[in-house]
Amino acid sequence: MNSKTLTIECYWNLVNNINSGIIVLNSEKKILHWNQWIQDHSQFELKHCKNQLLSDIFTDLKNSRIDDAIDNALELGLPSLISNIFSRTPFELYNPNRFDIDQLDSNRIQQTVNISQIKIEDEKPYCLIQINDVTASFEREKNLEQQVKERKEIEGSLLKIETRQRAIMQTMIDALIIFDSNGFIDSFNPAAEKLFGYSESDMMGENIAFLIEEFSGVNELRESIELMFELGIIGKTKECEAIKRNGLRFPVDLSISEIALGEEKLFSAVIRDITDRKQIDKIKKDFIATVSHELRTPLTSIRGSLGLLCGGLIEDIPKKALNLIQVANNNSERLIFLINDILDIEKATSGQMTFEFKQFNLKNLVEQSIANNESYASQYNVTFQLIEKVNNLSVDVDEHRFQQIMSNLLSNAAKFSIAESSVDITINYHNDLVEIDVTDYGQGIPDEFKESIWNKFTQADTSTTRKKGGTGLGLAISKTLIEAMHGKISFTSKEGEGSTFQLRLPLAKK
Amino acid sequence: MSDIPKLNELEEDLLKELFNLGVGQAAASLSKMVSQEILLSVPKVEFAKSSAMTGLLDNNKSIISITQSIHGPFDAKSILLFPEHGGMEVVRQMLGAQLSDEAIADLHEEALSEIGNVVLNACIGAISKSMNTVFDVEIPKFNQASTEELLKANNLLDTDTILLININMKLKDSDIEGYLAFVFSSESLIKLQGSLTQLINSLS
Repeated sequence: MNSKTLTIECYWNLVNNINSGIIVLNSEKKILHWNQWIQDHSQFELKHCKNQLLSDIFTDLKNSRIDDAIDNALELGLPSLISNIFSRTPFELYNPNRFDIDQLDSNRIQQTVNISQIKIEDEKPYCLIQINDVTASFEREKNLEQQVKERKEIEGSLLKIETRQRAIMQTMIDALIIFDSNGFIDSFNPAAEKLFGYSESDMMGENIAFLIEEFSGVNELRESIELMFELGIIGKTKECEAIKRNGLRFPVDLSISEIALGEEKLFSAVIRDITDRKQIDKIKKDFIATVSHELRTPLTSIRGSLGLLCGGLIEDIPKKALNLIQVANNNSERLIFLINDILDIEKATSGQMTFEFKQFNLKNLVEQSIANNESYASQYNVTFQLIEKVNNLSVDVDEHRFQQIMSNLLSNAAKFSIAESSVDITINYHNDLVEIDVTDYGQGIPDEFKESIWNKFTQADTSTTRKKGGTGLGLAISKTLIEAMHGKISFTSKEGEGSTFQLRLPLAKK
Repeated sequence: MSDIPKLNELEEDLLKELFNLGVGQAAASLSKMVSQEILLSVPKVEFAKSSAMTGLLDNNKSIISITQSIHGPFDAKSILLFPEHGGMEVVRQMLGAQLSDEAIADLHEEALSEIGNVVLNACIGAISKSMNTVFDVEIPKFNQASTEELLKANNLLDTDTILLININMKLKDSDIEGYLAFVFSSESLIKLQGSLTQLINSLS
């Protein structure tokens, strides 16, 4: 087939099937032909537009770059490439599947346009316009650009966070060490450098066991950390010993927290040197112990003298004076109790208290306690009632200290009972432990007070101290003593119904 | 292998005027494209050996070129040249928006092809109009290479003669220097001179 046999209609048919827009203009810029694609994307039918000026149909083209390029092609034979960069949507062409009048503008397709001259022998030149739909790649690029922008923003904010965190780490007063689950150090802040005497570069990749006494005995730090989890040390503060570069051991507060970074698990250790605090604590304790001891000596002789006076050593004391002496005697006794309590608690917490463990029959011990406190209870018209649920239990305790605890519990129960009621003392055996319950039917312990009940110098209502007496040290001492004897103390209480204090002790080994 | 043609003052002025016209048209078109004023000026028009291009652009390892060949009364290759950095800067300034370097790198080939097309069309158009002739003009080709590779790609010998037009492009914040080069065969060069003489004669 030679080209002469191809009629112009054949050409138009070929052009019709091309998947891009083709427009042919004559030398007067009037429409000669366009293909199906243009019709689909403009919804203008060729037969209604033929021989009209292109810019009368696509009115946006008037005085546009496209118009200039058509002139250049027709007059000077110059080809023009009009990319999508500087002119995005020059022709009013739309997505053929979305000819929704309301949103026509948003469905305008992104275009690239090529404009060139066609010269056929001696005829006047024609202008060929080719239009491609590049909406898909435009959207893709736009999305990509958006993604890049978002990623940059994220990176930027991450960097900011990192910089900020780094700054916090750098300026922290406490030493901060970050390490992995094997104990290898990942970062070591300036405060840590100052505290331990190593530089960060010295410590990178070293093991934290090197610095903390607590870890140094453990072969596998991982195990130790698991253990810490079990014991609930992670997330709490613990006192332990650390070692400086010069070998000096010193007391620290250690707080370990877990940092989860995706798969990786890191730990942060905040370490605070408590040498000064310990020293101050010691000075305070020494001071209290010395003062209490120095107070007790003169007080003992004061009470002795007052006791003798009350006992009628001197006859002819007027009755009024005797009453006053009685008051002085009672208060000097209270003062001695208080000082003894303070000395006890200082001894117990500093580990200076000695215990003489012996095996005792529990029932005998408890009966003894009841006997000791019966007269005190009678002041409040309260009686003790012993209930032995399990017989023949023995415990390994220091008798004197055990009686001290029981006296505290029994006198408290009596003191806070309603008159004419009883206090039940139950002996039981449960979960391999001996249990002694002291139950009163008094006013109970207010909820807001329950948390601080084991603190020193605590009573629910400070006004009851006056009414009922007591130093507020009793329960704190009892707790320290029972724990020193491998036992535990706990309580349950309901306001208005009463309270039960429970001692638990291991059964004595036979 | 052609000697550098000697242009008399009149011929040189005429050439300069022609390119001033063309470049002025190009500036108008570019300004229209980006809706901001772009100023183009032609400080210098001269014939040189193609080796001179190496000297002019040597400091820049990578040269961006946009080439359109023309055929007609005489044949030539018209080339717009930018040092790589200058080319990128043109794109950045013309697009105006705060674009990342990556985005500019993605777009620069298409954008500079279009910008080159506008500038070269305007200059070729100016020559066509003044000489009252029409050239058959090819579509622009983009290339980014060293000067050496550029000469090779255009089958140029160091000794070939080129018409070198210095172009100064003033955009908002920057002043970018580029070059327009017309590469002629020796035959075409004689034809060009002939056309120039003819034009001068017709004017006087």
